[in-house]
Amino acid sequence: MKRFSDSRQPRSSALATTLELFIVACIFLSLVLIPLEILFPEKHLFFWRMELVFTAIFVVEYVVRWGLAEKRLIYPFTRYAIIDLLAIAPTLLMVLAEHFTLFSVARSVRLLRVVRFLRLLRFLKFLRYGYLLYRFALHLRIRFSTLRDQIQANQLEKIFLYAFLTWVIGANSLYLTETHFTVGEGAYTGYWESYWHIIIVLFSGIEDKEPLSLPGRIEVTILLIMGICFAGVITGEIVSILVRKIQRLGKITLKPRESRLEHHIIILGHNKHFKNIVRQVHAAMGGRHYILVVSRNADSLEKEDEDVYKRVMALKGNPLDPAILERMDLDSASRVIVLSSSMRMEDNPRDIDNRSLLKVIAVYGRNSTVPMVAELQTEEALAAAGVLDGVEFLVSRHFGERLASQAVLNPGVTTIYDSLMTFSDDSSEFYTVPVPSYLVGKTFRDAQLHFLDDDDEAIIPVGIDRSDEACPNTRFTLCPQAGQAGLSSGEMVFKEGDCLVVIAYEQPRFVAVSREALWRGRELCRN
Amino acid sequence: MENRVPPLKGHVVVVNCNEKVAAIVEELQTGSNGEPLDVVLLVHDRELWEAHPHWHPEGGGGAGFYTLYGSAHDMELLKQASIRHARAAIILADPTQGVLTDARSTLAAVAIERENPQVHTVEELILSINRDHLARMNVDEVVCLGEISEKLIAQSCISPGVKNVFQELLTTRSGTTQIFLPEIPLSLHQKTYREIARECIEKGTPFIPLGYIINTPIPRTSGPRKGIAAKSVCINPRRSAKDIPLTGHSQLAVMAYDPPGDLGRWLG
Repeated sequence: MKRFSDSRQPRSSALATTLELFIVACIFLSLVLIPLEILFPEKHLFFWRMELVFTAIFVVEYVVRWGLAEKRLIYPFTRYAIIDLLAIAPTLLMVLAEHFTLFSVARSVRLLRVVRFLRLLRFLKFLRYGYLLYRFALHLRIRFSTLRDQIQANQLEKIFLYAFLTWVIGANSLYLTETHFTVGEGAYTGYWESYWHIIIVLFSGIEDKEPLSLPGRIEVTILLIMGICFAGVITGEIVSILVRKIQRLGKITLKPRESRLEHHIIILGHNKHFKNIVRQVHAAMGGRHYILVVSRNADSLEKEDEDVYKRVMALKGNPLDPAILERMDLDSASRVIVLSSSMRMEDNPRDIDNRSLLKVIAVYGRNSTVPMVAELQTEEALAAAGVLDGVEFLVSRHFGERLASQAVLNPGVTTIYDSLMTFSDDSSEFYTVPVPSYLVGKTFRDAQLHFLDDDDEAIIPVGIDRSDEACPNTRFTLCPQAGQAGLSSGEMVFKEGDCLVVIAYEQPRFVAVSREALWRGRELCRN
Repeated sequence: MENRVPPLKGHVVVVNCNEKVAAIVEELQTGSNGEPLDVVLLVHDRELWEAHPHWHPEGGGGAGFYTLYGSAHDMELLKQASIRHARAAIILADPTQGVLTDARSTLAAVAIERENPQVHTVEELILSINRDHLARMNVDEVVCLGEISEKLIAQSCISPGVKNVFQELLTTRSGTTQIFLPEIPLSLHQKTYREIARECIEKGTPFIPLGYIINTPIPRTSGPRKGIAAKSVCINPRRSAKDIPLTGHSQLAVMAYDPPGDLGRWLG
C-alpha cells in the first residue's frame, strides 16, 4: 500500500481553522446570491457589489494559498487550485466583459447568463473544507441528541401528540354534537370557536362556555377530566426531567441511546488512573474528539472539570456485553484504551489481567484495525497477549522499575522523562513523523541543523524510524549519528517513506494530514 | 545474597521489598552505565521477603547484593548499610501498608537524609497527590507508578508505538540510548544552548543535546543540610530560550548510548 495518499494538505492552526470557517461562510453566502439575483432583479446592483466582494476574498485566498504552497510551479494545476480558479473565473469574466470591448462576444445576454450559473461551481469548494464541515455537523448532531435525551424528548413528544389529538378530536366532536342537537347560536356552533374553547377546557380546566346539549356537556366533562390528566402527566414529566437533571449534576453526560459517535476515543473500564488519562488526552487533543467511557459504574462517574469533560460521555454496562459493545460504535472509533479494573477487593493481578484481555479480545473481534492500548499488571499476561497484532500492551510497573534505576544512575533525569511523557502546552513529547520532502536525500545531520535554525517551531530530531506503517516505532534508531552504535553514513540519508523521531511541543506543522486517514478516524484531529 | 554487609562506598541502598526489587537490582548491576553497583536491601518484614522468592534478584554482574532485616528508621541499621557512603537510596512502597504507604516511605527518606544529606534519594510514590509533600521533605526524585501508567497510556493512545521509544530510553542494556545530564564545563561557560548544539552537530558528537537544566544554588543555612538547588528545566528550548548563556551549575540534557563524560573533551 502506498504510504501516503496524494490528497494531503498542511496542518492548520486554530487561527487557520477560523479563517477556513470564514471562507466556508463566504462560499455559502455567495451561492445564495445566485437565486436572489433571479428573484429580486431590481436589487441587481447591490447583489453584484456583494458578488465582487466575495470574489475579491476568493482571489486573495487563491493568491495566499499559491504563495504558501510547497511547490508553487505545480500548485495551479492541482485539484483544489483548479476548483478555486473555477470559483472565481466566471465573475472575473463578467467583470472583463463589462470593461473590455475585446470581450464583446461575452456580453451577449445568453452567454452572460451561462457564465453566471457557472458560479455554482463554487459548491466544489466545499470539498476542501469537507472534513471541517463534517466535524461541525457531527458535534451539532450529538449535542442535539444529548439534549433530546436529557429532556426525555420522546416522552414529551408522545404526551403533546396525544394532547393535540385530543384537542382536535374534542373540538370537532363538540362542534358536530352542538350543531346537531341544538337550535340557534352556542359557544360550540362556530367551528374555529370550538377549537379555542376546547383548548381552554383541556389546559386550564375552566369551563366558562357551557355546551347547550346534554351529549355536549358529557363530552366536555370527559375532556375536563382528560385535561386534568394531561396537566398531571406533563407536570410529572417536567418534574422528572428536573429531578434527573439535579441528580446528574456534576456527573458525566450519559451517551444517548440513539446517538452515534464517530472518531471518538473509547475507554473500557475505570480505575484510579481514569481522571488523569482523560486530562492528558484532553490536553493532547484540545478536546476535539469525544471520549466514551464504558464501565459498570459509568453513570456515577463525576466530572472534575467542566472544560475537560465537555466531550466525555459515559455508557453504563459490562464492556463484554454484546449489546454494550454495539452501542460503543466501535466501527467508527479512532482509539480504544483498556484499563485494568477490579470487580472485587480480593481480585489478584492475574484476574485483573484476564479481564482486561477479554475486553481486548471482544474489541479486536469486532474491529481489529482500531489502534488499541491495554494496561496489564503482569509480565505473564504480556507474553500471552503478544499474539494480537496492532494492540499495544503496557505493564507500567516495568517502566517504574527502570525509571527508579535511571534516577540512581543519572540523578535528576526523572524530571526530563516526566516532561516528555506529559501532554501540556509547555512540554514536549515524542512524535514519529514522515520526513518532509525537502529533507529526502539529505542526512540526519542536515535535519538537525535545519531544525536548530528554525525558530518558528521548536523541534529536535532524535532518531530515524523505518518501521512498517501499520506498526510504527518498531524499527527505529535513536541517536543514529553515534558512530558504531548508530547507523552507517549511508543509512543516515533519508529516503522516501522514512520517518523522523522528533521531540516537539505539538505535531510538527510540516506534517501533511492524510485526508483518507482523517476520514477513517485513524488520524486524530489535533487542531 | 549475604546478610553481613562489609563497609561499602558508592553503593545503592534499597528500602523495603516488593516485586520491583529484582528488576531494579538487575538494572543497577548489569546495565551498561559504568561499573555494576553494590546494593544493600533493607527489609522490614522478613516473612514477606522469604515468602516471595521471585522478588529476589539473581546474582550476577560481579557486584554484591546484601540484605539487612529491620526498620529503615533505625539509625543503627542505616549505619550498618553504610548509608553515609552510599551513592543513592531507593525507597520502595511497602506492599503491606496499602495505599497510605507514602507516609512511611517519606519518613524513611527523611531518616536517610538526616544520616547523609548528600545521598540521592529516590522514592516510589503511590498517590501522585503527595508529590508536593515529598519535595518539601527534600526527597530528590519521585517515581509515581500511577502517573507513569496514566501518561504512557495517554501517549500510546495519541501516538501509537511511542512507548517503545520510552522503553528503549529507560533500559540500561548495552546498545540502547539513555538520557544523561552532564555538567556544563568551564570551557563552555557563557555559551548558549544554540551554540553548543550547533557545535555538537558540526563535530559529530555521539550525543544529541535535548535541552538544559539551570541549577540555582541556595546558600546553606547552619547545619549539615545540603544546599538545595532550584532547578529550571528546559527541554527542547524555544526561540529565545536557545540563546540564554549557560553557566556553571548548569547541566546539558543529552541523549546518547554511553555517558558522554566531560563535555569539554568533545566541545569547546
